[in-house]
Amino acid sequence: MKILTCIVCPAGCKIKIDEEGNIQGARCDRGINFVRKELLGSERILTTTIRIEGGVVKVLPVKSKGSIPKEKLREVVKKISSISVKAPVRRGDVVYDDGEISLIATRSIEEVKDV
Amino acid sequence: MKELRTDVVVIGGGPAGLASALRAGELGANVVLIERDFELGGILNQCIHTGFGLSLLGIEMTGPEYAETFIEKVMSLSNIKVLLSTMVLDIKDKVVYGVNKKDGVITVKAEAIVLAMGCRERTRGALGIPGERPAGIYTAGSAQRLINIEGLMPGKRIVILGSGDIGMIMARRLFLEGAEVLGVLEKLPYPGGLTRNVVQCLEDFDIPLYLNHTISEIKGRYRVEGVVAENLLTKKRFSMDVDTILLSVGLIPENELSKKIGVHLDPRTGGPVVDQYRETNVDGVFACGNVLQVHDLVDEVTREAYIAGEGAVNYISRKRRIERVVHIRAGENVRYIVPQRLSLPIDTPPYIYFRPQEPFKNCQILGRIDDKEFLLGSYEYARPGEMIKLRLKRELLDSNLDIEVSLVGEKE
Repeated sequence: MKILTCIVCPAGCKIKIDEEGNIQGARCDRGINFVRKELLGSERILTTTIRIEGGVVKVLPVKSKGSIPKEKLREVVKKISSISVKAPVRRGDVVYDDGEISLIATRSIEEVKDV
Repeated sequence: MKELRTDVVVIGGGPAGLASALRAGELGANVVLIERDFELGGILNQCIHTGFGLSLLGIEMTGPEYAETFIEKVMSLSNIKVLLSTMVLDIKDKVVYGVNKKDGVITVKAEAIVLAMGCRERTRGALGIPGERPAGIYTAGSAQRLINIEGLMPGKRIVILGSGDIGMIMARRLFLEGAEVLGVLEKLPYPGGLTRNVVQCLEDFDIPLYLNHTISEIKGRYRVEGVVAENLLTKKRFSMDVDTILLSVGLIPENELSKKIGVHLDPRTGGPVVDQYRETNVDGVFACGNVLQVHDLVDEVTREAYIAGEGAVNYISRKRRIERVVHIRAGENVRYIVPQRLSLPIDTPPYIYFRPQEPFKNCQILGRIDDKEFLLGSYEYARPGEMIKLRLKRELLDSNLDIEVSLVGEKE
């Protein structure tokens, strides 16, 4: 038997999977889906920051459009560390897409107005 | 001197301030929302990870997305006036004194006040770790700000003291940004934060969690050059070669202003003593969010702030009827309870929020009044890191006697 802690929401259900594949202990269907996916390989949404020029703050928080295998997360963060976007940005904008990784802005950043 | 008049003044523009201003505004009150930063959103702006909004909005968001959702709602109401970059200095008789660069000193006279100043982090000074005072020691939240807002890395080889949620989240963040995270040390036998963060922030990336451990020495004269970690049970010590220490050792509600106006604080929460409307002992002064009790989830902060915002409006319109007051006491195995006071009568029994003293399993929560006992809820697991919320029972609200809430169960 295997016990996984569900990370879909903060409830953190402890979900048991027995040898026959029966799933027990999930308080909702999202937990059952989480366990099914997790058994096939762990994938996570990546949240990180990229540089932004001309904005009221220096970095823009972003999230990956889909899930990324967790072993690859560090590699992806390194790869996107060189990219930079220009303000203004709206929340929900796709700010980067290289065919493999697609990044969505998770906040809006206004342009700095000349004083 | 600029002078404003309003119905409700909200101090603090983080999630609690936003939601209480929004609710008061939606109910038709004129609101002034005061924030010391140049933008609204508070700590959510630096919490770029996901996990926000699932319980309240049904979708999982990052901190900035959650903040912006509420900022947009607040900005869409013309009866809410927002003052940014404004620091509140004092409150006297329902007049709030603030200061900002543009207006200088500004006063806001209100009928009701909502305190939503949030909390701050416990620092090294509160721990008394011996050793030099080199650079490279940060609270987890200030490291989070450096990386996620300023775009700066605080160090390369990291140890984290304390297993609060922000500490574990920063372990993952620093690891993904290329740092080496040598471990998280926790003095207690169980983690301080949510179980899901132990899994998705530490176990996912093989970052060791050392339970029953602390830092017994910090080395380095100008910059951190290493620490000595100590197992508190075996007294065994080992060195860790690090250049940076993050502290995630607890949050303290920020109640300097509250104290100035005579708000009574609960020594167990560090926040004001309130009733179910989130009104403090000072007439017309309400509190919500982390200034009241340190929450795990922003969704609950928002819910609490809705209660306070509505409470403030009902206070002004004299809709409340308070005939008697009873107290709710934290009984056996219960660390604290919010609200600490009930203003009765009340139509529906309110929710209470509390944490157990230590981890329990297969436990029951009991409400006791005089010699009568009622089962309020049963839980497979109850941990100090995960706040419990449940509804009181009608039967507990019928008398003038105080209510005691306790927990019975097996120690985990």
